[in-house]
Amino acid sequence: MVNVRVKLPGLDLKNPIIPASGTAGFGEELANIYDLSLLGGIMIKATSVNPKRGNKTPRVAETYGGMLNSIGLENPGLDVVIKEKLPFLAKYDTCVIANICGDSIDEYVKVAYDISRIENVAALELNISCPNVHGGGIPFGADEDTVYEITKRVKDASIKPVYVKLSPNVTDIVKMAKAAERGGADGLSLINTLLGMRIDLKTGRPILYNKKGGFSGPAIKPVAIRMIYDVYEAVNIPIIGMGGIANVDDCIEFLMAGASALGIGTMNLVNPYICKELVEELPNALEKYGFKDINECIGYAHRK
Amino acid sequence: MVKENLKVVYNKKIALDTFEMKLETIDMASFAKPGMFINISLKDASKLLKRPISICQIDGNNLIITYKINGEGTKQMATYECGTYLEAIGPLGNGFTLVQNKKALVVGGGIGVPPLLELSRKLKELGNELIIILAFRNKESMIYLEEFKSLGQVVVTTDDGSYGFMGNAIEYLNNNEIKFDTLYSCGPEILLKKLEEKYAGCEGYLSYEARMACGVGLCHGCVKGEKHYCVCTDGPVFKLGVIYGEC
Repeated sequence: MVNVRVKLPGLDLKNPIIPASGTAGFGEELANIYDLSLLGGIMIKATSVNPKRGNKTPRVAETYGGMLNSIGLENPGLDVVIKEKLPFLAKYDTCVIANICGDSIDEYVKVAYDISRIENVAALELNISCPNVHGGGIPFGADEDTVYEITKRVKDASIKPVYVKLSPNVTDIVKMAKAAERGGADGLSLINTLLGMRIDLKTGRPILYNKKGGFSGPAIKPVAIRMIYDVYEAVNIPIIGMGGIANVDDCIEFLMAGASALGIGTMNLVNPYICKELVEELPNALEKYGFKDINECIGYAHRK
Repeated sequence: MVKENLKVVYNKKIALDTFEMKLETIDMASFAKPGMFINISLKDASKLLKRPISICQIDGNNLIITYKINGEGTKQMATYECGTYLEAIGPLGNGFTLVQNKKALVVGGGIGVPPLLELSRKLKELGNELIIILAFRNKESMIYLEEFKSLGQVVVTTDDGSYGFMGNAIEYLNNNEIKFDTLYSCGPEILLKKLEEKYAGCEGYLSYEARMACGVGLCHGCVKGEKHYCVCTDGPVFKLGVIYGEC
């Protein structure tokens, strides 16, 4: 029997398959489709202190082999997440990773302090792609010093391990990864969406109301593989890999590039059964490529 | 909801740019109700997202969907031949609330007409008297006229006057007062908005369309109304007043 269990800080995952933040809500919809206890973990929708309405519609658009979204981190706010959403997930035997966002470092700290103290939250995922309101709207994840500072402050506030979710919209993602590691990050998740845009040929206007949005799906996979490969070489903390995983061969490729666990994002929106299917298919796929233990596959490409 | 590979039984043109596709299901049709939709994959993997298409007719273990060519995806769909298998999930969304022994006004606009066919059949079975307004752009776009005529009193409007009343459904209703107990509608957003305004306070059920990604409530891409309801899971059918009304 092939071992698929992986251990990361705070996360003892029965398998590496985790629906990525923003594509699984707070688990309620997926729970109608399959038993969430099948999953290694689940990354909940980004949570801010106050409820967020998100952007106006249209806020999704298809692209060649992918899609754009500008949902705008719509969420019911910290109180509702703590009182209603997280208790629902406590019924399932799966690791809950709480994705947190904010418009200021203080807001991140507040969410991190409170949410990390909820028993069934295993770890935090820091979404640093949000615009920094106090820093002139530049995303937190686009500046090394800010990545270091926000990681450090959130680490100080949190009693659970912290994974920093890196944005690919930077000149050198390795610098950001190292800054997060210096700030005390327990792990990294990458990549978030690439900034993209589409124009409606009939009207000449951008399709998304918000004009620009996050580009995701199978089309971005080579970018994710390259960034995971580079970051794996440069840091000593584990990586949760994501960015266009669409089938079990993609899972193997991400593991070989250096991911220790796998976030499945856009494909949940195409096939809501995908995570369950990947959990079922992964042992055979590992065996097919000659691995008896998933841990042999993690970073395999770096030993070749 | 189930995920199945549906077999194309036929795929034929029935009006200008409008196609009817019959799909053989295993169990999917047995869960279907009027007003629900299916999310269907294209054969072209570069077109990632499934296409949400309303159910026009439920026929044993078959589902009949009717779609209009509106972009590259539906253009490809129109080329699929008998025997093609298409991955789909469904049925999705909530259906229409069905009343009994009432006078129902059914208003369809353009490609919003198809889901009203199965609805009208069920409403008739439940002893309702139907007044059906079907609004099209022109004569060439008309669909299911004979089918609706067997179910109730039908009025057709066309924008260019090439058939029936010249004008749209709202213009017809403004010129002709119709008494009814319950309103049912599906069509362009502007039609539904005007119906919500004109018949505020009345009992009614309106099916909305939206740019959608997942169809199952995961992405919150298709939200509408002050309370940001998901069209896919809270709708597509909403009680009159929920999206554009005060309540």
